[in-house]
Amino acid sequence: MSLKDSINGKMKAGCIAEAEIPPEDAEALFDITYSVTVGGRVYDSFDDPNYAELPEQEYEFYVPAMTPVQADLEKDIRDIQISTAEEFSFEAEDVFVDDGISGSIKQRIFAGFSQNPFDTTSNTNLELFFEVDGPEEAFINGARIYQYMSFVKSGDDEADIKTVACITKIGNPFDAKVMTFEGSNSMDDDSAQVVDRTWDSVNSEDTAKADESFTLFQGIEDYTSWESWDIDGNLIMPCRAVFDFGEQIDSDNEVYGTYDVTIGARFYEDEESTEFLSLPQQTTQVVFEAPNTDLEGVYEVTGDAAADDVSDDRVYLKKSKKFFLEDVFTGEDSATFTGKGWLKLEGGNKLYKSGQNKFFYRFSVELPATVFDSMDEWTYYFWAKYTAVDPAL
Amino acid sequence: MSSDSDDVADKRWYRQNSNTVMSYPEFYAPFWNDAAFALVDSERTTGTYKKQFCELQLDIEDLEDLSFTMETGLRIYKTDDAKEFFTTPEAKFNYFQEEQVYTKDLEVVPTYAPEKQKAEPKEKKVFAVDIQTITDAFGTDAINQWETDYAQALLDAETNENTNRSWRQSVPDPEVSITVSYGYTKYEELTESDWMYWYIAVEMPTSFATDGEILYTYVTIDAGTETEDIITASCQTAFGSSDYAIAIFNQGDDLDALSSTNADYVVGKTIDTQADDYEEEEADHDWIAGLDYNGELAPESTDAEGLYTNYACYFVKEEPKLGRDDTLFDREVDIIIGARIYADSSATDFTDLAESSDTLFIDEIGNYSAAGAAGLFVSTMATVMFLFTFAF
Repeated sequence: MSLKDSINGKMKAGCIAEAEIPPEDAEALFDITYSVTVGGRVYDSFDDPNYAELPEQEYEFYVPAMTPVQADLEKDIRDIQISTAEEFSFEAEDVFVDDGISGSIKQRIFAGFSQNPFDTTSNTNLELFFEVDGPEEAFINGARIYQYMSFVKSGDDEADIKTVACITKIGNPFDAKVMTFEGSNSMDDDSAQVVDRTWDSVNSEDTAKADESFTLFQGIEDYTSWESWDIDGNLIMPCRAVFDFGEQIDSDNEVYGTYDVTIGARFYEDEESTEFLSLPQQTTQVVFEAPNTDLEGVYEVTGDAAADDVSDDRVYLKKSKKFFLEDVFTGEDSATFTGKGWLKLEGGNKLYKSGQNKFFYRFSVELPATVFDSMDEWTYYFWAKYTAVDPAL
Repeated sequence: MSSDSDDVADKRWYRQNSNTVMSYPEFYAPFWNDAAFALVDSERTTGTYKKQFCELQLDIEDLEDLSFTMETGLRIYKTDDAKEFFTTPEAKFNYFQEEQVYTKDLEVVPTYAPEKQKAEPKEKKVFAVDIQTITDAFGTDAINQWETDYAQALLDAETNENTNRSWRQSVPDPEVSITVSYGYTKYEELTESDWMYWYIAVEMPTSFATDGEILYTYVTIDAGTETEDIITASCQTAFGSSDYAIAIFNQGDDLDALSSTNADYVVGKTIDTQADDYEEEEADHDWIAGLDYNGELAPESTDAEGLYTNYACYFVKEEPKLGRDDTLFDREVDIIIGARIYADSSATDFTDLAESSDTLFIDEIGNYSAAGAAGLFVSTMATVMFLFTFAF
């Protein structure tokens, strides 16, 4: 919130409050006329008990209907194998020179391919995971974080450079955007296609065709900031961009190989800002490796190593909860489902000489056989929530 | 995550707790392993059941010793767009995550060798049944028979001893007592479970028992925590038989479910239909009836006249060494002890021997002590040598 020029030589102060409204709640909150009372008080300082009261205003405020378009749920079961992980560190003082923000900032990028090797109709995706890990004060609600990666195959001087920009709005995961550029324009901070432009018009000249562009991933968690696991007091702003190859690609596809990449991130104060603060650009080489389609070989101890290992399940958590179906299935289904059922949870370890140990939770539900016949295609959502008990208590 | 949470209720399954979904979860689904998500026939023998699995796993390097409170549940949605769901009852419990690494001890096949077991008797509680209850339970005919038997026993003793002592001694009231006792049977190997053994014994005049009638005993255990349901272990045996059977009841917070006065679950019910809502099937609990793994026999009656018998029923609970939660030991729990006598398995009427409440200290189970086991082994060997000497 800062004073801005208004008309007749006056200044104005604004304050924006935002509420996240999941699409499923829209019906209850929209297409309604609200009675709104607006007031304001002006204080000399935060600890001043005196204030000047601004006259209250009352309005009728109609919020029009919203018809959110929800994409079909992506039910693809996918395996992601990260083949590239890069991290760069900076001092916050060097980036936020005039803002008094100190501490460490890290930019990370992970890249990998996702697919389901058991389902040949499942397309291969290239997924880019961006992260800026910075002091909490650097993440101001409403600001944009513009993370990007430019890449071109090493040694291919003829090819256009592809750039993927993944842009999040702090405090509003529903307003993230992924932009793809292909061309020769520079994405450097001092490039004519970057300077004096708002974030959404950067290098618009090189905007890639839709079928060659990365898109958002379905799920707001990839665009919501969360506490850093690495640096105390920091937040991480992630951003995930996905490219769908439209098919399951072979391991000899030309996309695999070594790339020269340039990575950067910029902070825009708001939607209108044409100025930005920037993390220093980094260049490096990365390898996009074809994913291993033998998932058992990736995640389990197999082959000769398994023969020499001990992989018997060591179950040490074993709980069972009996229930009556009449208590679970109500309404029109109560007559169909009768009898007893059991919810079970096992947990334990698979221990190996090699130390490649696994821990597992195994849920199960046991019901009369005929009941399962009546639940074809239904979804079973098992959950377990665990909280460590402080031994000192 | 509970079904009544604002982050769950009226949301599609994939929109639940959307603000706390981890971007990079450590757990992954082993979907190359069909068995991890299979719908399979159940091995349960009490009906035709199927079992739907769902498994997660996690790569681990080190596991710390940690105690957890865990909640779990299952919601079932008809479609992916459904906001309404069916939910099973949700469970809350403690569990202990134990630091584990591979050792050769994990490869030892359990044998439960008798020479490598050690029995540790723990607390015993004895409850006397008052004479009014005894009279109400067995009737005046039984009391009269007792008096006759007692007087005859004295006469027999006089004859044998050539004395006259009946003039000195009046016929005492018959006595009935109920004893609950527990202890641990421990085994040496890591892969061999320890066992918490129990017996419930009713000592009473032998004349009160009719061969073939069923002695039904039970102990209800209330740990008094919000993460443990109240459990009742009942043990039954027929007079004159050495066969034992148990039933385990997980009764939530319904403390009196197995009480002789419970009109919903006990009164007017046969043994097999008691508290059916709470009874666990054999496949779902770790208790076993009988003397296997049991480290202690109930003492025989020692009355001078030989008119009493201590009728005991035996059972054990498996206590695996791996992942043992020590917080379930070294603490006091509330117990209710009771006993009933049924004419047979189809009877709905019973003789009630009254119920008693008390506390029981569940001692720490500790580890197998080689010294103790060696003592047992030496004792066994000494007995063998003694007989060997006599034989010659």
